[in-house]
Amino acid sequence: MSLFRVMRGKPLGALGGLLILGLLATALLAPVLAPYDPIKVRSSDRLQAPSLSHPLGTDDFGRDILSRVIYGARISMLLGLGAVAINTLLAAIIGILSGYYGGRIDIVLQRCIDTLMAFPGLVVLLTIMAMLGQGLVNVILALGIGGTAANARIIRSAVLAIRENQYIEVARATGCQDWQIIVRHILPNIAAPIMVVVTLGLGVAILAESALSFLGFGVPPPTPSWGAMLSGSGRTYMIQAPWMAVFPGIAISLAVFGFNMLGDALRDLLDPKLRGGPQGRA
Amino acid sequence: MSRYVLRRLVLLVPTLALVTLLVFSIIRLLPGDIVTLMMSEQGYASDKAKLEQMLGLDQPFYRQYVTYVGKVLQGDLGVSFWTKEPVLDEILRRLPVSLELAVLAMLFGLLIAVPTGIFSAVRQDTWLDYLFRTGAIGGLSVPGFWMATVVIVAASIWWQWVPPMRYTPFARDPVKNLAQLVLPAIILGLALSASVMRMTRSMVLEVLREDYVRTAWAKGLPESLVIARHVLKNAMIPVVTVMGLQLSALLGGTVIMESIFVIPGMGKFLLDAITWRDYPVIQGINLFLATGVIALNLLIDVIYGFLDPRIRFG
Amino acid sequence: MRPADHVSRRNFLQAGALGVAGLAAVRPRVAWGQNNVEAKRGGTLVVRSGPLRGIDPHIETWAAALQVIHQTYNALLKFNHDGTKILPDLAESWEQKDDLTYSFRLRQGVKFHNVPPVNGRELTSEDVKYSIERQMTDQPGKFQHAYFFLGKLASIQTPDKYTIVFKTKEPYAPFLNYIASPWTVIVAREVVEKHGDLQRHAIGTGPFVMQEYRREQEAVFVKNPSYFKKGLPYLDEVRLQYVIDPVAATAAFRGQQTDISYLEFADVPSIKASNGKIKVAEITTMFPIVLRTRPYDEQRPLKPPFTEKKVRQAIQAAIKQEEFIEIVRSGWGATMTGPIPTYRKPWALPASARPEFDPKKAKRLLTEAGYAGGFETELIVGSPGDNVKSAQVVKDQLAKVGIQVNLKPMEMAQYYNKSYSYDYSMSVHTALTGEEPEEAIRPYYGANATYYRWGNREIHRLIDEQAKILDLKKRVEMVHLIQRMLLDDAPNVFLYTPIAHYGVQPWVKNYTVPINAYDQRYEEIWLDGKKA
Repeated sequence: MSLFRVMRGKPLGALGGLLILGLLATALLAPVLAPYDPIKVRSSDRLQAPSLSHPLGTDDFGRDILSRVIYGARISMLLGLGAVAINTLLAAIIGILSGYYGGRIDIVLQRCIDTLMAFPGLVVLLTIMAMLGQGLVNVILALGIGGTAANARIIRSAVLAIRENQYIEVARATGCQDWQIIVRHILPNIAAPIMVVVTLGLGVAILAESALSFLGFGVPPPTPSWGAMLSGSGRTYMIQAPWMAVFPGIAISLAVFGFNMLGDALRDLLDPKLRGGPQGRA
Repeated sequence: MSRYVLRRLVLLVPTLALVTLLVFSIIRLLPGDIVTLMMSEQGYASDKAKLEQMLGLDQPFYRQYVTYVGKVLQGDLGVSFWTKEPVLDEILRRLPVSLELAVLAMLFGLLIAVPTGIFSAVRQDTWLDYLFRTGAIGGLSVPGFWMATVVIVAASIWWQWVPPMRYTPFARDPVKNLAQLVLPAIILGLALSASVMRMTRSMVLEVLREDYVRTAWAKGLPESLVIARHVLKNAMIPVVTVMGLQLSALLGGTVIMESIFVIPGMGKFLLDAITWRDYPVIQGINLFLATGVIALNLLIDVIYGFLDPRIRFG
Repeated sequence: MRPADHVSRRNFLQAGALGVAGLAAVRPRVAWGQNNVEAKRGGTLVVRSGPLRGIDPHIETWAAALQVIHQTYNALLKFNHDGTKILPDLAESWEQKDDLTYSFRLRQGVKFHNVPPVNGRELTSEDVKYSIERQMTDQPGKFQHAYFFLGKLASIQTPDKYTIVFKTKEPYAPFLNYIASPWTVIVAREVVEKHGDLQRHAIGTGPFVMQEYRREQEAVFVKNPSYFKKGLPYLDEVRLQYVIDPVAATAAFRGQQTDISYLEFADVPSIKASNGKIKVAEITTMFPIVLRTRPYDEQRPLKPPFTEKKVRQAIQAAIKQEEFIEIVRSGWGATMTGPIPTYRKPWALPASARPEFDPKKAKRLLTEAGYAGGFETELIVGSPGDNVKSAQVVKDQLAKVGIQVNLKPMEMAQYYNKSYSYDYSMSVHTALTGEEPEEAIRPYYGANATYYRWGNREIHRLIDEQAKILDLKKRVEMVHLIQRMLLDDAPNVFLYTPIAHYGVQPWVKNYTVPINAYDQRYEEIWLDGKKA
């Protein structure tokens, strides 16, 4: 199946993919793309409407919004990738252990998962942030830990589905060690759901960070995170200088949109079994 | 069936125990020791040691925990460190508010999601399908507080209208009550509808391919009847499950809407408690929510079991 | 308008200094509201409230607490709306008998609210004595206004039910200002004994009785039918509405859901455009924003680099006040010449005293102190709020002279905890001042300061001295000297004083927003034309 044909079959997913590529490129090439320093205060240029010298306008500190949005892509990717990495790693460990070994380990881990799932997500995030204090790294940690439970469930059901396959039994019968089986057979087969989880998780992380920013627990200034730009001065100056919030808002929406579309398409394509139904009830 | 239910109930106990233990320990790790915080605030304890004693914080951890669990089993969730009101009372006062908001949000979510999901499925891969799916994701991509801000400011400037910033219970004045809650409910519902809509869509798609539906079509039944009779019932099953899962997210996710629209619900209550390190309140709310969610999940599983006999012995 | 004779504070002090004993007792004639034919009675006033911790007048310092306190309590004296005159409240008349003695005559027939545990009993001089003594409770860090009178009074005598006589140990210039302070209200012993403190209960003699109190949500007060000022209040009800989100709060005001509201400066143009009849008052607040360096006293020695005075002076020279006002407040702020806000004449230093903005001098000082390459330090600030923005400007300005500041915003509760442990390198803080000039100085830099600690003994001594000087001119001189020493020592850099905006709907009558926006008394307001 050529990539082009796949993209034609799923135009929304293709659009999402393009958006994400654009996001990644922006994040990587930020120092090259951004015309100004995103942090330097320049009081003479405050609150300027979009113009030739400042295509997206300036904020109340005189900082160029285009540059901040570009660097914000970097922060968003850092946040998203960091959070998802932690998340997926933890979820995979728990999910695989739980699904593969079953039995008592499964029951105990499942209790833990149920426990964590019972707490509303934002509450968990707030509690973790209150414990750790402010800071970019802490936000990443919080986002990573916060989403683990749900994804562990998903991975577990994927592992369960595969475990019953015949070739696994054969592998065991021929004396393959557990870890070999996991690495060689299980992992590749759960790569699909993991990819979906990762893609969707990236979108969730970005949104969650903006929610945290609004409540005062997000990435501390002067770091240009989209969430902080949207929820802080962006709101104060909404009537006077709407561009301060509109552009980061569009950026967030496009990014989340892209991740969701891509994730959806991936899900449809790779594993139709994941499409519907409840996930991993005991 | 009853064996299944019983087994689930039994598994409930260790889960709840873990929940309380988790909550109990974590908040004590929060920096900004509450004793120091309170020392500067209240006037009735003369020194730190006395305050600790009054708050029960001078006992070793396990004893505090055991005392707490004992009280919980008697229905006593403790007393707020700051307001001195019983935690359970405060929760029960705010619970109906949060529930109303959550229920309204789910209603709007369903209202938006189900029709669009069905349409999308029936007209699969047409521009309408893409439009709805894009719209659904769009609703999910814009942060809720942003939507709320835009709506409030726009409404106040263009129409001189602002949702009432004061909560009136539904029984006392349904109009004022809804006027305050309808906006946040729609915004929350929008985010919710995205996933529900896609789920509805895929379920409907699956069912549409089933033989008995094709038979009905072949027999010449009008499309709407086919959908109404056969598709809906089966498609709703997973939808119900997802809605149930979303409830917990909703109850926690209302923090932001409650802050903006001045709704005295549990979300804001919890946020304040975390900020002021009000241990009994944090514990009480978490326990309450966790228990509620677990019970709700059990209920949903039971309903699911009834609806789909294949799942019964799970 | 209410007719009232009164003697200005200045004349008072001067008269005292001249040793004119037996100055004619001040006995204002007052007619309250019963003869006011213009006023319309009834209605509910809705006022936007702010973040609140507790409502005990002797413990708290946050402004939102005063909104509650001023509905339910009275004081002996109070300031007029621009802080230039002292007016009677519970006291019918008062006189300063000599340098050390102040005598007050209470009104008769003043009743506490008719709720348990006071049940409408009469207020007597014993209550005043109890209140002042409670305010003076020596528990630093808790009773935040104890410094008003702690250690300054020789005795409080109550020769009869309606007379109270204060004797100070030494001449004490701030005495009357502290009696008239918005925080020096008179409370009831029974309420304190019943609840341990007044953080959640407000029962006094005031114009309104508390009906409902949900902290950080709303508070409802109803008219006190037995209020001693006959004919007042005109309103039936006062409701304080707490809206945490500034955007929603402004929208509420625009949507006519609040009658009096603090407004964000960015919203003022659109509010004025929506209805020309809305009054927007611009108030230079008395809450200066201050950049603090490490506090120090005997138990907490200074740590490098702040041990070097030149380093602190360098920081001061690197700060440009105008940039803060421009960036953080879009111009809505006033520069400062010292700890006392510039509008408080004659106490504030003249404009010429303001530390110069001179980054070259800053670099030079740093080099002289041995920090030619600059240094790195941490700055804490409470979040969210304007101060986080100010912190960013600080970081930017100090970076230009080689000082690298790492910002550490923290939740308010944690920030205040850290502040009061006096253990931080730098912070951006909102300070308190008051009508009384030493309020900006003594609790921060004095010997027993609680809001901050600065161990300069000479400054301690001078602060103690200035309070004893009854002669206005001489006292002003010493207060100026203290401020100049503070600018030289530079423990703190004074950034700016915010100018705040308060919106008042057109149907709110007979109300002038007080110049310091601290006073929250609404007893003389009436509503005319408010839609139900």
